[in-house]
Amino acid sequence: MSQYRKEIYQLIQSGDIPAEHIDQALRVSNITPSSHAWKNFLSNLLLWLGVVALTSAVMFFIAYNWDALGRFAKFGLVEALIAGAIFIYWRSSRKALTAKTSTQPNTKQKTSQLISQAALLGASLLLGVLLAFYGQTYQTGADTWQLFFTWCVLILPWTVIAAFPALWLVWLTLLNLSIILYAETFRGIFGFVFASEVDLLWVIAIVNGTALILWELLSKRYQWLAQSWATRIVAIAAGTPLTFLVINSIMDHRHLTILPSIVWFIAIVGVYIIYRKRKPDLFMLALGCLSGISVLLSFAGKMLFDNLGSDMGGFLGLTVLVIILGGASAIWLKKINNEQHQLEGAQSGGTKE
Amino acid sequence: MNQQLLKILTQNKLLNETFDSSQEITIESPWYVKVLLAFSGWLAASFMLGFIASFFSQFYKDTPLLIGLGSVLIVTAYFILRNKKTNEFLEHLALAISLAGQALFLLAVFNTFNYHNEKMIWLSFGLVQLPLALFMPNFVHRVFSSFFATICFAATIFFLYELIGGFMVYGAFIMLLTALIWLNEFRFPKHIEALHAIGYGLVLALITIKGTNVFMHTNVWKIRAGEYAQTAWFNGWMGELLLSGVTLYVVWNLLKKTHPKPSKTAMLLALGGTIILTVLSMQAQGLLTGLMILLLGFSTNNRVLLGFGVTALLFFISSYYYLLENTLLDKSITLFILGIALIIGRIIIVKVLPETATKGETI
Repeated sequence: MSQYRKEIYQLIQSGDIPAEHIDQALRVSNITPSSHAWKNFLSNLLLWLGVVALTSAVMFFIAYNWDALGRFAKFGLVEALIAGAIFIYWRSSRKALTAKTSTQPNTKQKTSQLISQAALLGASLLLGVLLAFYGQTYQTGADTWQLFFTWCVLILPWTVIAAFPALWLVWLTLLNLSIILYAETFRGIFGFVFASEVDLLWVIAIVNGTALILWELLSKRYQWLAQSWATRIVAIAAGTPLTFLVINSIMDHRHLTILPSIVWFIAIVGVYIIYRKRKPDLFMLALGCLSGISVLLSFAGKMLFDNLGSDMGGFLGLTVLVIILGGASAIWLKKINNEQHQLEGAQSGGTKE
Repeated sequence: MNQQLLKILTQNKLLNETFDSSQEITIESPWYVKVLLAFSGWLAASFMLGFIASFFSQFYKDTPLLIGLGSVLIVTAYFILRNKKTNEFLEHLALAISLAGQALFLLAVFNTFNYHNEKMIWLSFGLVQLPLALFMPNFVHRVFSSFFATICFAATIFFLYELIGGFMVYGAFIMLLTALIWLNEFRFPKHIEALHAIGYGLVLALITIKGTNVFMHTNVWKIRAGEYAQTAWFNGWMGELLLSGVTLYVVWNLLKKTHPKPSKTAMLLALGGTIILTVLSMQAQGLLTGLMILLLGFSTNNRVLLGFGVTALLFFISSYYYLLENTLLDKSITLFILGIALIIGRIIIVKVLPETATKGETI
């Protein structure tokens, strides 16, 4: 895909490309796809949609006949599907391996790599279905968290060999779910509702925070891990509970603690150093700004409403503050965005005039 | 400015003679910066409302005062945003002021229609949002207003039981409007930002409307609307037909735009495939809408639109499971036929088109 869409947009808007040349400008900058690009796109789209439609058809068919199927038929069916997915993986992984090691993999190799990864993803999801069905059939008495945890442990080897960020995200989601469900079970027995919720937020923040750090460190060595969309999702999963912990510590009258604020501050400084200086990523900085705005507003809200004694003053103060904080963040982020574009422009086109 | 791009454009003599290559062009902010701006605007608006509410704690039932104050706030926001030198602080303030003004309007609408007249409440609020989408000179505001205007009018039709089926026709009409905007996004340089903002608002609304359309079959609405089915002005098939027409129109336009011009075989295959797909997807609601968004996104290299298309498709396919109108067996057969057709389509593209479609490649 062309990376020039934003620039062309600006040039058309400012009238620097005359109306009669717009279509040609879109073509030469590859914004309007060529017949060849359309062909590749459509063949990939039809393949993926076709696979999704057929898989769903099989799933709906099994669901329709579920009650009529015997126990062994059900096990056989799910296991056959897993075996089928693994077979597809085995068939396409050889070609995929060549693609991974080759400096310029061709389209066929890339497709094989994609198919092998999709097959392992499918097998990993089906394994969860098998485990759930096993628990249901034999009434093992296991808690729900055990199902997700076992699932998470069992697919780990596949996750490692797949070299596929999406599967790692599935794995991390399963780990998060196991932890949340474990905490719910634990809470049910002991009844420390508030304490366990805060503890849960801590554990989730630490697990996802560690995952983010490891992901960033390992992505230097393993190129396939260097997918910014994936690290962004992990960062949201780590930042959200941490931000809630700080807001909770500000609002809570019963437990005074500054530990969440210290950890949050260190995390924000870390985000700034890494994503501003080392590995520029505007999304991460925007996420940090959002977290900062939420925390500062909670703190200011608490101060204003507790001390002013009038709602009117509190609301007015918060309105002004949110406008200042939001505006300042937008100005800062736009400045960095422009810097990055200039840098990219200079790198791709040599020296600037 | 990217030097490589400038070189390509200059070589092809596509830039104005007056163009100064040393000038810095302001780069559009990424979507998440705009989301951050919108989020802060929302927060500021809610605090501002809190402030106004505590200032005039008695005026909640005074409809003329609410409308008057709401109008003053919206007009103030318009004038702040109209000034091209408006910086982020002022832009933020204006968004908050406008949102607070709209909330006052909403209160006035609720007061006037006594909370129970759903049709009139939705219609009135849609009529407030429509001019804002068209004239408020701000990207975030236009996305927000065009989204809500579309949803409000959809809800109005939704509650007009006499118009059963009109909801489907409305969905197809919004698809047509969305397609027209994205197919012509660069045609009107002076209004390019407005078109983009309204285009995004419409796409988001379309996904929401089609999503509701899917769930509509499962809720009480169908029972209530069923009473009016005999005397309906519109029927569901009209919506399907219009949507099929829109799909063909989009594909035809994309084929015309493609360069080098696709061969006759490629064009026939594309149009034939589209007709087959429209027939097959009549049973699988939302599929065509998701595909249209995806195609429009790819046709102009718009990653955000592509993302919306993929999300819409995943959402529609997964929600299809919950559609109670058909049995799981029917759905399974529909999906199976659809899946086979898609795979056959892929094989045809790969086997038949290489020589024809890429013939004359120059770029």
